[in-house]
Amino acid sequence: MTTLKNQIDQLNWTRIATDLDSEGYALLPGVLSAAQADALTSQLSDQLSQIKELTVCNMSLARCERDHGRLHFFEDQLPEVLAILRKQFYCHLAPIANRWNKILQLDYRYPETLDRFLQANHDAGQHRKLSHLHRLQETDYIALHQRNDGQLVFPLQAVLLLSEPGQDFRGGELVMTEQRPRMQSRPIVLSMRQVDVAILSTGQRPFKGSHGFYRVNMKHAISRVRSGQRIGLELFFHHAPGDNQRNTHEQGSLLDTDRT
Amino acid sequence: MNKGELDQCERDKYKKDKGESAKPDAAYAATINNADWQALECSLNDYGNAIVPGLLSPAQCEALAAGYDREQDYRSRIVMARHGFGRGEYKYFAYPLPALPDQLRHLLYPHLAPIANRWSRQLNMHVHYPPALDTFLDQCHAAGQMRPTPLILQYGPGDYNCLHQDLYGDHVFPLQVAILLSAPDRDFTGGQFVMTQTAAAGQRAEVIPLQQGDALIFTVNHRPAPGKRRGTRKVAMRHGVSVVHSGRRHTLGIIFHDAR
Repeated sequence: MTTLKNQIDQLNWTRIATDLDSEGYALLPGVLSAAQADALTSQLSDQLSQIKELTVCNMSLARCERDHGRLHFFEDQLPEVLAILRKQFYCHLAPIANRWNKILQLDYRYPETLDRFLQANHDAGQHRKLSHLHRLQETDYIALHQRNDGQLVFPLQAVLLLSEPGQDFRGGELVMTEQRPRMQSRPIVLSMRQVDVAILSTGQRPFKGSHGFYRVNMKHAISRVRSGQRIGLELFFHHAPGDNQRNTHEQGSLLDTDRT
Repeated sequence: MNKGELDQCERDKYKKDKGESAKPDAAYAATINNADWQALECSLNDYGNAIVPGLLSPAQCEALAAGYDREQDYRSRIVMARHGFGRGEYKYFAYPLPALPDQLRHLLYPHLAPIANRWSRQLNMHVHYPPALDTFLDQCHAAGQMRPTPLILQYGPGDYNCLHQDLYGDHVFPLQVAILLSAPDRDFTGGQFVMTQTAAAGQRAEVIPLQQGDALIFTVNHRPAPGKRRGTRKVAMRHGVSVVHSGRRHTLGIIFHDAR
């Protein structure tokens, strides 16, 4: 898998940084070769079969808007392909995250490696893993959300699409909203193909307006799947506060199968 | 026409013109009157939007889009960037409206008023929408909302429309219609119609797939949605258009209340 590491290193990170600065997202089509995508899908087959028929609570929202679909959180080790993507993306994104913090006058600086950042998460009591796989079928959707609870939040995350739009499913577009101070929000629709990767702003990011920088707030959602099945995943670089047990409140919501 | 105000003479003339140009053989009239309004109402109740596919023919769409340059048909032109609404522009028709937008407005209203009344009752708003458009417009005009609101929007590459609600005064008809006049992929790429809904419990975002000539009926500002324990909750909806990547996209917007 050193090939994958090299592929990631050879991406045009200058272009990616420019896209993230101006749009809050960057599309990275073709990061994974067909063989790597197949390897990933087979590595995920266990998790996919474990996804239970549950309505899942979107835990970043104070009051739960139930998502309609099935989620699997990666509690243990990530499958190899994902682990490489996460580790290698982090190395290239940390300088961008640090530049954003500097612009937003935030003191925190992200360490150079993912391992050190994750250690900092654990030290801060942030143990709950956020990366997850989802399987959405007709009428399923994921609410607008941002998973940026806690003291340590990495301002970027990755999303992957594992199904082919138009062939495996219709609808299910990735939508982002960009809230700007005293202005109407901008809607963004990302056009992704199977095994495409996109880097998204997790929550807040600096935006250069005509009178200097200001802070915009970004959320993302998956639009209602109109037909077929959409499989995708979200990769996070930070953990959420708390331990890994999805207990009490959240577990209760997991078992809430009341579909409205 | 100055500020869109009509004196009685003009108004009578406009009604006479309208009568003469109302050709009953138009297919759209049959499409509207024969549509499955029960299914459309279900979709409006569940999602706050519903599609009437192929309401206008490609020729009708193209004629309306070409009419964007006929200055005499319009009362005002809005450049969105000047107001922070997004990028792109739109023009409000002047009274008397051209025959097609006028007929669409009159034909659609009687089907939507009963739905609007049911929504009003469920939200305890106690607003009664009369069965005929002209009666409702008389109410708007008496309250100082005299200027016509039907419009055509034009987007080029890089243009987008922020998430918003089309409110123009105290009188608000809770449903409006947008008809896509351009053909996706052929005339433009990107430019997807996005709606968000916000309730106490959270937010959703939805991309609505439209083809040339499709009419989308959607929520202007609020709609009732089933709440917990058989109650009704109020959901706020906004709509916008994601950035157009290439080509040109025209939409006809039919709003039923007039503007102050």
